[in-house]
Amino acid sequence: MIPAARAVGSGAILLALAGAGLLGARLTDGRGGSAADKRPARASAAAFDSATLSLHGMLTSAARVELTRLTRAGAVVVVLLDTADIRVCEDLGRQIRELRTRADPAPLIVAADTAAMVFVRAFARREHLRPAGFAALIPGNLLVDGVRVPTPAALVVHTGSADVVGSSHPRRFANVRVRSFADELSPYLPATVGSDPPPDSRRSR
Amino acid sequence: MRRILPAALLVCAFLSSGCEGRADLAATRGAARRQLVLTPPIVLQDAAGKLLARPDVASEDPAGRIVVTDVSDRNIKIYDERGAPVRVVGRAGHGPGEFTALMSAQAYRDSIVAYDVESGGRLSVFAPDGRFAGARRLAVAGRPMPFSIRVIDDSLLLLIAAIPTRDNRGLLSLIRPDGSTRSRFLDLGAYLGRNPQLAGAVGLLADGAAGRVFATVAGGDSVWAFDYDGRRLGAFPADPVQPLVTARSLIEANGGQLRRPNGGFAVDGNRMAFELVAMDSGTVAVEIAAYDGRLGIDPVDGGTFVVSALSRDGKARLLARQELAGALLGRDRRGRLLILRYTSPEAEAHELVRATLAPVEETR
Repeated sequence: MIPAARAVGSGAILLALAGAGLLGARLTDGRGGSAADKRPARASAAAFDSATLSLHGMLTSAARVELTRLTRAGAVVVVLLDTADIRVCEDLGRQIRELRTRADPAPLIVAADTAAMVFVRAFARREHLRPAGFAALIPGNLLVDGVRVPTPAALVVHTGSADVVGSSHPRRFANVRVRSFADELSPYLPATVGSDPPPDSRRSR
Repeated sequence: MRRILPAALLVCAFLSSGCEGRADLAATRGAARRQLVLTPPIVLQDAAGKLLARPDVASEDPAGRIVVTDVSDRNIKIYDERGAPVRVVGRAGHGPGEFTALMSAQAYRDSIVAYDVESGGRLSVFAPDGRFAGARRLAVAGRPMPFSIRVIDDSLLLLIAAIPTRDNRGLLSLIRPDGSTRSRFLDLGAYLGRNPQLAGAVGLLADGAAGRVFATVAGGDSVWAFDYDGRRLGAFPADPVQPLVTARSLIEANGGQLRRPNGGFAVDGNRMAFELVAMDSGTVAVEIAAYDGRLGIDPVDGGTFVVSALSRDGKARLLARQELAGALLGRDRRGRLLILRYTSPEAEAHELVRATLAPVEETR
């Protein structure tokens, strides 16, 4: 990014937070909340009072079809982005490159709403993300129950299974995060190498 | 000993060579129109998956190696004269020798100095073998927090403030190796105005060489020139052929707001300067391209290179103006511009070219 844009990134953080969308019942705050908890979504800003949100859920059939169209790999890492993320998250490119390397040989798919795709593709080229493909996925139509996934988010998906695990970073950090997407997903990444699906977190907790 | 060595290296790296100000006598360049002539490209042989991610400020060390700041990977990548990777210095993180917001890294004598705007503005020094040698904070009371720095020569560093600030005066500081200030200059209060919306659309670019410091505003329309004592020598349009439109005027025309009602930005599509490198003989190169707040700019894709020479009347002569692929990232030890570009439209690899000014008639 040009110096001007780098200089102004923090100024856009609050705007981006305000537009991040609603959290769903299956998004927990990273401190071990139950994924099976079906309390209503919290719509207040307090719902964002965490740097990292753990995500456990089930993919919609439409999302599964889109991912299957792109890859036949046993496991896929999906990074879900929106235009605000690529404008204000200074560390996003590095994190995604690290995630791609750590996830190898599982392919990395970059997903975004159709309207955001042109901007996300430009970001991916500029940051040399080298994804295996781009998926047109609407954050609000990714998981069953219509839960909108806050972005940016990184998910591990096993083909043949609707279960999805991952994490989301709704609170913007202008610079390097202490724990990256790759760190947070590392418990799930080794399993992506094989063909076995990850443990069902809803039952194992 | 382990504690003494980094401190000793740090002191050595900052010892003054005594040449400060000698370049104030720099001659001006002749009036003939020039053109930028590029050397054959040198492909940077990055290993698969280790591609230079987002290159920024580049320089050449005394051994002829190219030092490239990677602001996305938060490290410094060093290549030999054939483009082979030599080493990676520093990494992302919060500890010594690590970076959270790496803004610039350049060869400084036989070492590398790297500036991280986080952590109170920290200047890290790395020994020639890449070892972390020490760090110091550049934040000083009464001086704006630097947003970036440039190595001017072996005896001066240029501190470049973030803009706009509460007090848009003294935005550039030339400091000596011991941290003392030689001069502080560039007041942009009247130029920038007081609209806080401008913070989303401007940045300060500056560099110095051969006794001259040049500055421009990304989102502005002018270039200012100073000597090392901070005396203003002149001001001129950044692009005299196709004058730039200031972000300030676009925001004012948008009711004082940066955002447009349709979700875009008032500055979308506007041409703006995004790189500036000072050359010898009172000459400066500026790279300009159209900006889009959502698409961003990839400097490596290139833009319009405008090279101007300061004249004695405080104005400037246009020496060269060319469309070139690549990002203008610095100058080598012979004063040639360092330009990094993609080897193909797929942006899978980078190559380095150097650019010199040659009379137009010689290149026909």
